[in-house]
Amino acid sequence: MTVSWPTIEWTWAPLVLLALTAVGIVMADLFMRAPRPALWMQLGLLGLLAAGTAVVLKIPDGVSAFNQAVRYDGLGRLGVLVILAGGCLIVLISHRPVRRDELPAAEYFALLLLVVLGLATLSISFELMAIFLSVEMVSVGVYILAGLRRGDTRGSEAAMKYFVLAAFSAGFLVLGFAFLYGGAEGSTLLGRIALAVHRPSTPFTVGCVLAGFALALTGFAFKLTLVPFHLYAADVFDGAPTPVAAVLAALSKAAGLIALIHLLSPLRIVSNETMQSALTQDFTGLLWIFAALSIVVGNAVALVQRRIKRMLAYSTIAHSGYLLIGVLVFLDNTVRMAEVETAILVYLIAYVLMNVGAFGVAAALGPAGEGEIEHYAGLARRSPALALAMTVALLSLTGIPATAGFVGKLTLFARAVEAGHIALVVLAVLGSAVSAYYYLRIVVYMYMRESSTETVGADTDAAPLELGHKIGLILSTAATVLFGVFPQTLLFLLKIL
Amino acid sequence: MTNWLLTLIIFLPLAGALLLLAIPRTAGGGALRAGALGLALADLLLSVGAALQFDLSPAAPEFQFVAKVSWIPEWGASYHVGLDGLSLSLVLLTNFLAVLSILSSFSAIRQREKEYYILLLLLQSGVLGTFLALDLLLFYLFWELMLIPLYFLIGIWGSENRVYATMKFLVYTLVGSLLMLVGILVVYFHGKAANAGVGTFDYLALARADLRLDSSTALWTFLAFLLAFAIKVPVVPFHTWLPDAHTEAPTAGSVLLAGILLKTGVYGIVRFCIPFFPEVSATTAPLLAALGIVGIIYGAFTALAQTDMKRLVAYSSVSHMGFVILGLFAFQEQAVRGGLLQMLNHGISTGGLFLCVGLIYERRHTRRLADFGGLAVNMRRYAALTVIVALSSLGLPGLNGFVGEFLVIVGAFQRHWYWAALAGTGVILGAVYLLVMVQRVFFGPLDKPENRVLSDLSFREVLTLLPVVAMAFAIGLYPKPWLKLLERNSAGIIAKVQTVQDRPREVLVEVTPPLEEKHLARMFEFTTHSHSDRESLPQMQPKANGDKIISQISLTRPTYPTRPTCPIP
Repeated sequence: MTVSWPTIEWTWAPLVLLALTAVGIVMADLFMRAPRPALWMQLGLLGLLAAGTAVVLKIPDGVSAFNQAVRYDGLGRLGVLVILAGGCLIVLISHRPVRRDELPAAEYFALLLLVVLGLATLSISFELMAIFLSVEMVSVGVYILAGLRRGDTRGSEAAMKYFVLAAFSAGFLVLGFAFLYGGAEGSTLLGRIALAVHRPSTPFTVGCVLAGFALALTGFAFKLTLVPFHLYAADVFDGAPTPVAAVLAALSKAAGLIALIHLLSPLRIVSNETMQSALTQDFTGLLWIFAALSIVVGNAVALVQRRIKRMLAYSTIAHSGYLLIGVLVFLDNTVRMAEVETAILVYLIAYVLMNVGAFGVAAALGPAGEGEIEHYAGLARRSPALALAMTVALLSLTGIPATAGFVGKLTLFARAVEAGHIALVVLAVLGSAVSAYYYLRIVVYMYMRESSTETVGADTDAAPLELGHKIGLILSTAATVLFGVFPQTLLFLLKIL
Repeated sequence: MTNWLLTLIIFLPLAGALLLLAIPRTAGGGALRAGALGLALADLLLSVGAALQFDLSPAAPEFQFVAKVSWIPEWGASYHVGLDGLSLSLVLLTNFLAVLSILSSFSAIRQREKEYYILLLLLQSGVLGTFLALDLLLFYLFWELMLIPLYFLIGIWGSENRVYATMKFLVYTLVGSLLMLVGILVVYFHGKAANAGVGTFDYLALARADLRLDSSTALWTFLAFLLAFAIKVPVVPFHTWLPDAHTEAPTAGSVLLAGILLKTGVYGIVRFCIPFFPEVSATTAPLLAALGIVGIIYGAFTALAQTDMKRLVAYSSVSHMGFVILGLFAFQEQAVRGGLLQMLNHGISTGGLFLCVGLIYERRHTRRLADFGGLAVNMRRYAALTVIVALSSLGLPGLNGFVGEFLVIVGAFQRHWYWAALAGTGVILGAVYLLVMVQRVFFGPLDKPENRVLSDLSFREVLTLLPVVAMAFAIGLYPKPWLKLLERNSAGIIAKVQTVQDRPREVLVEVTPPLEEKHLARMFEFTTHSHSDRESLPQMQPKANGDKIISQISLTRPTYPTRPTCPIP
């Protein structure tokens, strides 16, 4: 006889696991006498790993849940894994900042987990409400996390700025979604919207869909820090605790990009003649402009930044531009979808790894290392390992071969060349050449300048690096090199996971 | 069919660098220096071993010691290395100069020695990989990888303006190489289309494939490749990074930069630009040859005006590399071969000159010509060796520089007499600025007190210059083996370009001006009956726009006189 177990709804499991861990951490903290940052960190890691394992083992490709509102399609499912893995790395590189700045550890890790939960949900949402709720979940978490350092004026400024602009962009998003809802004749499912695009019933529908996509794109442009909606990025990155900035830089962009692709996917299959010309042309044109502006402005403004996190903020703007080329290629339905998705995922993985590396080193160096670039003078002598990790991350951001960043750029640009976007690719590689200047300027400081007594004195935290932080940096650096030298390991991982 | 010799040659310095990493800091510099020198020597011996086994007979395969292992099967990239005459000569040059530059660093580098030798060995691996890779992606990997060690070598151990120089060098080179990456991708996807949808980065497959690039794509892709290589060579409008980088680099860096890194540019042109885009190469050849001549004369005049010895040598480098470019794009058997040989000669002579400048800089910490004078009195060994190296650089018969420049000029003369005449002025100017340098440094009164106390070269220092002098004489007096080594490559270039020029003759025999109309009519006919008539028009298979290039070429085709080969002195 068979025992009938209550069936587990596996599609919910990863999300529920994350939420439970977050709540569990906050609850357990109530019963602790002394703050236990290490314990909360380990619990957070455990939750993320459990969620990841559930996705890998129990959720096959293409499963949908919640009445089609959530679907683990190829891009979304692997995107969730990228976000969970990136979440693990960011939890690890939070070790030192949390201990040093005496942040409320339980709240910090719980909120971080909730933000990761929001991002994971965002990358598998196929329904407008779900997308909006995930976006808001992330935003609310980030408001608090950005301002978590009480008394820090930069932190408060960052939180305030993010709050105002996120609320503003949410307005665009909601308005856009309302139009799409109208265009789809009363449905919020992306599948139904695709149908409306496919067979618009009235001219009114066409207008609704157009306006909806345009407004939603604007909302996402805020999230992805696309020029001209990028202005908050540098201040928020600079003011927020460094690992939070890393979440915004790496994970939130990854999830946002995947969600944008899902949202625009109805445009890929347009067959109706009028819609085809209107939508696809308008949107490729619009995306083209966004991408070109982000590449040019991001790289140009990064050149003159004196603070490391501001520089990295502008660099992520440029990288958003490169990633947008991927979206453009995705909309071109002559290119095979699986290939584009692989290219985008490879780029995203490289992007997460190298940003975690760069932000992780900055976090390890303390307030001085999160500030002016001058502080990096002579770092190669003071802590050669950190300097090496930073160098690998920066070379990868530049896109030098034998790093993951190169593999990402190669796969993405290859698809773009195949789809005929040569002008944009040329712009992007020229941007990369310019970016070498500001990325490697840090390397110049680390290896080619001697540290002044002032900078040595500013090393507030001379204590050896916490184990967790160390593991996080080693993992991201090793993966950057491994995926760079043997890209097939990455492709293999994408295939089996 | 896998031979691991080349892999060993490429990765021995890299593996050695990792070994050096394991030497504790307390062990002192001696072990490091001995280790680095030993590794470089071992690698040199390996490459000499490869040279001895290299089969020069025409029946031998074009690439020997081939190793091919799948690397990224999803993209059709493989670890594919092979050796032909050109790459063999460059590998020998690389390992030769690597030994000398390590030997010359023993006393010059006192700071962070471990990192220094590790980076030097990494650079060597990168360059060797660039010369031996037969896969476009692998080539690009090594091509970029050699940038990074040099960036650090100049930036850490250079002189005052090192950071400016190294950033300039890096950004300049990256602009070129990233555009080349786009070019590689374009070639890749055209190769994929030609190869029934199977993409490959394999050089041999792509060079053989009919890429069917239309004329504007071919031109732009050619330019994308060419820009990367022209910046490296450097061809004149793209040369401004070079004087800074050379001047600020430590001696070994300058030696390797001038001796080897510049050659990767020429190598790239020979290996990729001309075989992939023979049509465009042929049409742009006059322009590029002209740029070569401009480089010769401009470099020479600028060198003449320098007061800093290292800058002088750097500009002489620009001038000498102009000969290489002129030789290549003259597309004439002797000129091409002379150009390729000149490339080796330049590596030896200019590398040697940088070693000489380094030796005196180490003693006096100045490179200004005005600070010297009369050194022949108290530094006799140094004076003798430097004069020989300078003479070899300025092209004195009997020394190596003469052979290459002479062949280039003879070859260029057969194309256009004024090319040869203009290039000839470069030789004369070269004699002027180098002899002026020799005269100012070594002759005249020994009137500066700082110079009176200078000691002559030690045994080790003589040992760094002696091989240079020996090679200068060896190539100068008996260039035949080297020319023989490069014969196949130069013949290959000529053949590649000539088949392009012959092609229109076969296709459009009856086409006479006014060509446009008739040609178009014929093409139209072809496209309408294409399926049935394809067999009867074998040469018309390329796409319509491909044919357009051919017609252009047939209009502007220059004549290539074939003369009996010139006896080599």
